[in-house]
Amino acid sequence: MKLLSYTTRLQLFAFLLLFGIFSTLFYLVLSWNVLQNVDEVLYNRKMNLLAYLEKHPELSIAQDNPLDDFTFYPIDINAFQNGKESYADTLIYEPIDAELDEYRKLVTFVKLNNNYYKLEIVKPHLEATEIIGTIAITLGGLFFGLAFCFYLSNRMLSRRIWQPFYAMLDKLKNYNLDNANVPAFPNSKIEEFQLLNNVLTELTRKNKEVFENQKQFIGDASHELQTPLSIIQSKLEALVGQTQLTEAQATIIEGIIGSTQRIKKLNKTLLLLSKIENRQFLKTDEVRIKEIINKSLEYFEEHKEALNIQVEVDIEGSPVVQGNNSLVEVLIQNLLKNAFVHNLKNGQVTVIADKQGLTVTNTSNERIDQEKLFQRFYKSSNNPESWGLGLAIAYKIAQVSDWELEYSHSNVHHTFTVHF
Amino acid sequence: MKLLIIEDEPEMLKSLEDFAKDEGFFCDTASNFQEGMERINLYDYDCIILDINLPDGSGFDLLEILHKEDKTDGVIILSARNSLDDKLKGLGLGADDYLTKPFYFSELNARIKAIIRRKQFKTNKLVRYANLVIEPDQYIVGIDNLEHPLSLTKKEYAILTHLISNHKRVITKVSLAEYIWGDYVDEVQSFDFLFSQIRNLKRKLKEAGANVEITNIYGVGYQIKTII
Repeated sequence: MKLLSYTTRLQLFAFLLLFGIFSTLFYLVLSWNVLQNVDEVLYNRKMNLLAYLEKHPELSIAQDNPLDDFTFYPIDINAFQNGKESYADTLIYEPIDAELDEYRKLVTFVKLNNNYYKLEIVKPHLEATEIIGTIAITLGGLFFGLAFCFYLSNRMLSRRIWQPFYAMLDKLKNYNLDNANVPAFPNSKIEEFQLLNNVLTELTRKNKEVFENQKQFIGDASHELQTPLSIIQSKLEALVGQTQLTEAQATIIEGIIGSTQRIKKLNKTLLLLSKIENRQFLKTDEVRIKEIINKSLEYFEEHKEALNIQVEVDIEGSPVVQGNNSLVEVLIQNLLKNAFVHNLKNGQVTVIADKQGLTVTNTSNERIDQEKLFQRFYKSSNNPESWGLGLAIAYKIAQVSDWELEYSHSNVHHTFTVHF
Repeated sequence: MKLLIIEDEPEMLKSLEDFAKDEGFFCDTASNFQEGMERINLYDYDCIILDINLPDGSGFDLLEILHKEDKTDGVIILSARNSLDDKLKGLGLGADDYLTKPFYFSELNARIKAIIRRKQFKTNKLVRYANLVIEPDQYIVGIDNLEHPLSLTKKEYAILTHLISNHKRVITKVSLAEYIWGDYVDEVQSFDFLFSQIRNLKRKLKEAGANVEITNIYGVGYQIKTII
């Protein structure tokens, strides 16, 4: 749920609750007011009536005269003394509209010409349902009107107010540490947003700095390793050339040479990765895919023979793509190496290329964790010779070249596709 | 053959010097920019091995000086930076070759010899070793002459020429495999492949009657020798 609709919803709910409470209160106050009013009228009527009857004792007080709104009931003195004046609601049947109407009734006890009477005066009063109806219609209308206006204005205002926030969010969403520049967040007049803006800018800047430092560190470290590695390697070469070497010594030296070679390769690969990440390669070459594939395939002749692998190459025309020659070579080499090294006896390697993309398919029984496939140092096999860096590099190269590297598989067929 | 080695790392310099002496080159050394410049101004060399990063200057500046003075010394750049820009810059300034550290001496040796051979191109184009004759430009090898060239595969040819240009030293399996396959092949596999390539090469050489023998040195490396 969007923040905007969430707040609007909450506000509308609070609005509704408030309106409910107010309507009830309003109803209570109004009906109390109406009753007070009616009671006052009844009391005045009683006083006028009594005063008039005192003045005109000759007037007979008929028991039930439909022309007036009062009735006198003769009573004895005891009843008169015990009687108390009271106001009450009552329902009276109205034959005209055939329903019970609400009336207010004053019951009082009076002494008139030395006779005791119970006097009842009735007055119709505003009906509760009517009051409620009126309130519901007016206040309800008001509520809906207000809510609608509120909703609309809120949407419009919020959209304007939150616009910088959404702009920031958008920038953050597209923010990638690999990107060369730190995103510039739009300035805002609103203090909180400006604060958020400053904090975000600072955070991304720091993040970037840490990332850059780390990259720099890897680059520098591998770089610094080059010279000592050269020295070790040259000394080993010199040692091998010594004629008085015994076989046991030679075996030890061979071990050292092997390990040195591995460090060397790892170091070289790390340097390459760091360089790709630092975008030290221009992407302005016209890369001839066909030539690179054919040249690379030559290096895998031995693999092909060793495992009796069927190689099928289908290149449509001579596709040329914009990129970096050396990087594309590494990319293709890594994909082919992956296809040949992780293959089956009597297996297959298929290379298909055209202007749109390059597909390398191989047969393999290895299970691959798709999530980790392009991660550094992920190995699906236990081959100690493999660093698990080849596909990570291929992925990075595709990324910096603005291409897409995809993996899919069905049964024993594993397919890597580069979309140019 | 006169070499000048300009390298600031003392251990590296010593290794390079030992290597040059073993190969039979006369060699001078310089461990910084200043010394290097003095040497260049004083003498002519067949080949200069130049480290780009020197404590008191850049090897590129030395290259420029050589270029300005129309010196014909061959130059091989050594750099710890495997950067294409550096490579292009160096080659653009007149360097003949570019090697990234760490490199194998066998590789450096082959490249020095290639430069020297290019310099002597007109007079002596063919490479001879024992009764083998090699035409480097056409990648053909014959016995005594080139009339009946051996049918070698590209890789066999590469192995043979690499062994010949390094015949005074043992070439480790690792460096030979890297020379042939680069990063394409993993080490363990490449040894198997190398083994079968060399076996085939040996057979072809023997059948053709070449007076050479490729020997395996303690399983660590290979060396080519003449047999009489």
